Amino acid sequence: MDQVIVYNIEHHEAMGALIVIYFFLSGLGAGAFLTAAGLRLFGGEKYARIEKTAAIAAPLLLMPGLLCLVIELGKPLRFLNMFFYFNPSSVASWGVWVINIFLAISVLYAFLHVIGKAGIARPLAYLGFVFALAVGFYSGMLLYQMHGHILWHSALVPVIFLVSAIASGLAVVLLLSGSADPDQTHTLSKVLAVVVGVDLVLALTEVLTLTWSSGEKAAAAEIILSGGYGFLFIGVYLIAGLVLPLMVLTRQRTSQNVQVFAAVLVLVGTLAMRYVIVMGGQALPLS
Amino acid sequence: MKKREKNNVGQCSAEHERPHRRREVLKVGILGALAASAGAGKALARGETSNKDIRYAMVIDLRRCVGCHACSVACKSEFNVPLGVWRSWVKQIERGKFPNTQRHFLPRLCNHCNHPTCVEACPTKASYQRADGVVLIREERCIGCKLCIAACPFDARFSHPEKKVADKCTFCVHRVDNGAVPACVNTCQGRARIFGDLNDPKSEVAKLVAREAVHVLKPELGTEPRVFYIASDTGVAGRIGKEV
Repeated sequence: MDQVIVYNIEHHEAMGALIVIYFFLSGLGAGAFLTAAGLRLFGGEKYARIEKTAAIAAPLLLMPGLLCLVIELGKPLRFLNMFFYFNPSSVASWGVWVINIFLAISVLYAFLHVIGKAGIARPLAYLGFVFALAVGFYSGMLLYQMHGHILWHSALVPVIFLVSAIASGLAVVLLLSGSADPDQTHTLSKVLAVVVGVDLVLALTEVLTLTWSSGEKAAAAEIILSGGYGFLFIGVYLIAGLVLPLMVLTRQRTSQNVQVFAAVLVLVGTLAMRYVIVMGGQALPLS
Repeated sequence: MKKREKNNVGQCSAEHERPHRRREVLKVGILGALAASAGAGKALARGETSNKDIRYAMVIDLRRCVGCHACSVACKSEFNVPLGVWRSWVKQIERGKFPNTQRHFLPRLCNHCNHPTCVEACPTKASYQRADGVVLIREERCIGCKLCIAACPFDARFSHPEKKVADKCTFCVHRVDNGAVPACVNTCQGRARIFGDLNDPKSEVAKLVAREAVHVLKPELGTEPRVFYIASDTGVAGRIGKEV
């Protein structure tokens, strides 16, 4: 039977655009560091130039993200309380340590590259690799902890956040390495294609499970798969940000222009996805 | 009016009457039965910040609610809650077509859950739960990250527009600790809101929860809300709204 809500209170959403930008930039920083450390650990010396670009980009991307996070606080000057008081059940309480340790590692790693001592950075690359993975993973985990927002409460959310962080990090490194050896950027673009492929599988799984769900989950799905959010999620993220880059990057030979084009699409798609998950996830009323 | 206040205090004093406090009640009782019934509650509860033997809870009997919003207003004036945000409010829905139609009400407040997800998510332990179950915020410690607001599945929390910290219903602990009932309970004209100690088998809330068909919001999330509704309607308690 038809019913109308005559009166109800909906409080403003807890997370705004600054949090979206923070998730995006921290993902970029983590992804760029993973690229740098990955090239050091698995690529060898010949990638030194791209590695240096990525290593320097990582903290420079992360820092404005952290600034967004602090500005977003109601009491920005109290951010130190995060270090003084620890709550083991809070993902954010762990996250603040993880992300600050990662910040320290990435700054040190970039510094070693600047002074030309990248050779001794191998142990740091290992350690940073683990922390960068944790940074990419924790933002999705943070959302997962919010049980009431049904869109966030999916086991795939932290994984999608991590994989898209790696993809966007690779993309930003590809963008910044325009003058590098074409063979090397070609290899990098192939790695990006694989990561984008994994991201696409994960995103499709999430979309399909949402579509075939019922009740509140179906209502949450309807919000992100239709209207403005639907355009951003399906059009910008899934098609322009994943399918299109995958199609152009898996071709036999790709020119550098095509790689840059694909990288930009991946970045725009990742930002759109973060926006839809964070804001669209709060669009379904809680009561 | 005076009689009503007295009743409220009296009701609360019965709830506060713990075995180890009985002697005190007797002492006060010597002074006179009237004085005792009016004042004992206050005397007993004063300074009692948190007692683990107590579990505060509220029962809202929707059969008695007429949707007058007096509770919302009492709450607003008790805490000077700014415009645009609410610690307590009354959700209303309408269903059916004339002449077969009905309006359903759902007075809302913080559920003071047994397993509060807001306390779980708070990165600085600014949100905490007292031993008697009341969920509160240390305002001086809160950094305003709003994670508790996102974590609450009931939309009970909000960012205070002036203080810039998280804010919500406190079960009126400043009143309850002094032997009175919360402002919304005190003002409810139909006595739809009933407050008390769930652990005390003699309290009205314990009796109602045991005997009546009660319902809590979103029981599937396992937060174990301690605001119980009698005669709750699926439509008004659900969040999608269009259909029952």
